[in-house]
Amino acid sequence: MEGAAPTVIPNRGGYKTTPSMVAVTEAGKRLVGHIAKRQAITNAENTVYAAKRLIGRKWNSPQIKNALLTSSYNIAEGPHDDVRIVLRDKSYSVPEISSMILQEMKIIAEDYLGQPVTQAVVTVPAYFNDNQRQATKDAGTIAGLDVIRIINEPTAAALAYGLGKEIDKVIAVYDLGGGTFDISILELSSNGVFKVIATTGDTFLGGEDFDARIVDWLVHGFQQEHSIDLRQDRMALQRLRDAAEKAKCELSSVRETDINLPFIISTGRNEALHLQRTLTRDVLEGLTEDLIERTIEICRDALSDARLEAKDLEDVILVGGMTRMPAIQKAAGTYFGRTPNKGVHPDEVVALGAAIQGHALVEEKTDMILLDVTPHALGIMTFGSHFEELIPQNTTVPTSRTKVFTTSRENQTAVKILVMQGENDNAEKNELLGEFILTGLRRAAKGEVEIEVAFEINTDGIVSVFAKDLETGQAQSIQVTATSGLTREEIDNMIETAKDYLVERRVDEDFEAAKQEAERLIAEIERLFPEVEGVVGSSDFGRDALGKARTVLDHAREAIESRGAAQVRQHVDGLARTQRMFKGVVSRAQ
Amino acid sequence: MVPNDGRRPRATMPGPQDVDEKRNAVTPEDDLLADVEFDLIDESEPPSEDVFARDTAIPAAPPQQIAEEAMLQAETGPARSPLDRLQQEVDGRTPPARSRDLTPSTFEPPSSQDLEFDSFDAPIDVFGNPLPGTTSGRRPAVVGQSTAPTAPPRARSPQPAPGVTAPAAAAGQRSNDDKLTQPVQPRGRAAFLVETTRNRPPSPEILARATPRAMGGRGSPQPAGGAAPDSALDFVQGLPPVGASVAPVAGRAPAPAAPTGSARGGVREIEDCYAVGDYSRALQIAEQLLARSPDDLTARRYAQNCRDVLTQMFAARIGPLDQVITVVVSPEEVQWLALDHRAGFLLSLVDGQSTVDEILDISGMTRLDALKILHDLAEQQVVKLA
Repeated sequence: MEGAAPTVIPNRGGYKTTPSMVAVTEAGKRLVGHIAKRQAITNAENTVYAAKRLIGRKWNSPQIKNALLTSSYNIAEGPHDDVRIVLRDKSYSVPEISSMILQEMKIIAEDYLGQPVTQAVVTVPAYFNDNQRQATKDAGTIAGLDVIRIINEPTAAALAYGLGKEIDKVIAVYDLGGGTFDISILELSSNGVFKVIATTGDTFLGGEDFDARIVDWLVHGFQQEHSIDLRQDRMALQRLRDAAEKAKCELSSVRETDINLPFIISTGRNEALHLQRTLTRDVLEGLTEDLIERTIEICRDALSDARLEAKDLEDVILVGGMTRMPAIQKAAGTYFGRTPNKGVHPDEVVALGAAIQGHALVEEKTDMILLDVTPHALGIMTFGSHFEELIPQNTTVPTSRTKVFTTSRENQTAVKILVMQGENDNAEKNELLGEFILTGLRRAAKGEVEIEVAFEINTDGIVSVFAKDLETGQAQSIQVTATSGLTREEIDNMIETAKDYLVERRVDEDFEAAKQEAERLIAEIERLFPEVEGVVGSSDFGRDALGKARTVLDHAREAIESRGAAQVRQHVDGLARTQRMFKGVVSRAQ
Repeated sequence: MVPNDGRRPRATMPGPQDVDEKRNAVTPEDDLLADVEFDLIDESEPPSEDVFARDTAIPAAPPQQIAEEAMLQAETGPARSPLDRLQQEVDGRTPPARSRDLTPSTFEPPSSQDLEFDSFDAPIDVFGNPLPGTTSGRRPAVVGQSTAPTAPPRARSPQPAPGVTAPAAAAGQRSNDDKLTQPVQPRGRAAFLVETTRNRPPSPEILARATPRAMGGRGSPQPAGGAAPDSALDFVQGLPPVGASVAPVAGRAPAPAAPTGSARGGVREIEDCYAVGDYSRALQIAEQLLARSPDDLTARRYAQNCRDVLTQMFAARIGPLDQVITVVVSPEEVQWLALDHRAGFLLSLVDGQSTVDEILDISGMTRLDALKILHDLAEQQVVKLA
């Protein structure tokens, strides 16, 4: 926050957004953000993208099974039924991968602010369950950040949207990002309460699908003309992807754009082929029409969940770079029956909301109350693997619900309570949060013994489940603590590793700074050398001095070779003195 | 995940006070510079490491080989290569002055100039390349102690004679005149073909006559389709990707069979090339051998050493890897260059903000391949290093 206004800090490349991508090069170097994206296809096996599809998931979950089929990088089973990603033969947990991105953000912020950054507000998709939220927190911890609040992305967007405005209305947040689509319906109150009343989405629908359509179009055209499938060449494919994304962005503001990729492929007959095509906005819209329609279908579901109609909405906020596409704006406007609000920067709105919330938390401003809802229904598994819902999806927390159940077998003396989260009637398809057994039930005919089950969610999102034999009063309970799949010891080790990385990186930067200074001086001395030689080279003393100057240069170069910042700095002084003297000789000679 | 009990020791960063202490170690009284203007040497500094003690140090050429080469040179004369003479026979005229990238490779024994490391003056690196930012200086004495050439001999490539179209018209870069006279490709066509001008094989007549004997008896024939080698670096032109199949690269002469067809013969050939500093050729043969015998440890070791040496050579020629690299030709001109798709890909990564090191990181190629291509692009003045 700069004064009262939140500001997005640009990264080292000057961009205000950083792709959530991490890669490890052949040399073992870590790449984060744009640079990782630029090699995502040529180094596909070692580039992680869309880690948020995996974070906090169990190994056996359907989402992971799906990811195993679609991910280019290697996903492996972790020791605690969690997920690991293998990059260059080294296994990383998903929170560890996410921590690399958070650590990069931390470094950028520290460089910008000139002071350590220790706390963070992190935004997550509204549908994240407790385990996913906990895993996100762990990622922050590994990166050296105290995550003081996790907030939903649409909530953050609404927060930025509602800043300083006295509004009381229901809005839709249409968020089409790089890899995911989310739609949330929020109720904003003039007293500063932001309530998510419905959220849904598609974790496999985003900007990259639009890029893929352009790539398909380019590949198909090229194949028709030259009978060469560019997909078979990774370098060609990387260039196609980059060009497709660029063209897509350009078509948001112009009606047509040229895609020019010289030397896209060699034919093996001493020939290199160029790809040159013109893509128009109309063609792009034709290629992606179904994708846009899919987002509208999901919007329809969200409104249905919220028991609202489009006309009930008073505003539509567009979030994510993809929403700059005119066809998307038009489709959203048509469906919701109103022109989407463009007063909020689509790329920055979520970050701005997080900054506002962080500021409110640090300054202890209690007027900015955030009310979130349970992203998924909570319940228990009953006879026949049926899921019995106790707390419906989108219930505002804190909340509590109670329901009475009976035994399902004759003379049943114990019941197993399986606490689950999800919306599927088949309990096995939902997420298991925890389980416990209530024993000591009276032997009786089935359906005779009654057990009361109570669910309670506090403001911190911690779920407590109680089961009580109504006849004997015997009770049992469990507190479901979200887990990322990492043990405390593992997290501690990862924190140390992250610190080591940070130290190494700082040392490298220190060396690079010293090296640049030394090389600048060396170049200057080398430039002056012939002139100085001409002035003093005729005398024994001069020759000796020049030889010594040459030695200083040689030693400085050796220090640079040794890659030690301290060694290089040691020689910088000598180089500076030499440079001063050379300059003195030259100026006196003139 | 097994807890990492044996965690590696944490790196430590020198504190600012450490640096200050070292800076302040030289008191004004001790600072001889205060009295003697040019007395800059810190005599206590240890002598620089002998670079030739490294793994990649250049072995001496076998005396017999040197003798053979010297004799051959005495017979043929240092000024012209055997292929020049062949060309002369074909054309019936004296080939004009050498021009790069316009003729097939030639093979001649190293001249005295070659043995002088391309006339480099000091300071030079282990490969005989001038250190970045240097323009003059001494040659390290250790270079003079070596009797073996540390780079392949320069080729003496004649200009194409009129009427000789084969490699001459195709090889190398197009001239500016060529560019101007080429019609601009009309827009609206989805893609078009541009013929790359490298690696076109020489005429069969020349190939047929360019026997190893005619080439001065120095090992196997060079890639016939390659651009004329101007230095050691040019020999690596057209090398297959490291670890890739050793099928002959398009436009190159078929890879020479191992002298005896046996692994031993191949290794001997590698050793010979390595001994004379022809690392690119040694690497090529080693990779061919490895394709046939993947477990050949000697070939593997040589291949790795050659890669290391060549990588360092190109890195030294490019200069500091933290330089920002920019494209200096217009997009319209780019498509008239003689590039292959790999060079085209690397060129597409050059955005005017990324450093050489970053481009190497994201290229997806081996460092050797990427450095070689970047070096070539810089040589062709397609890119500029800041």
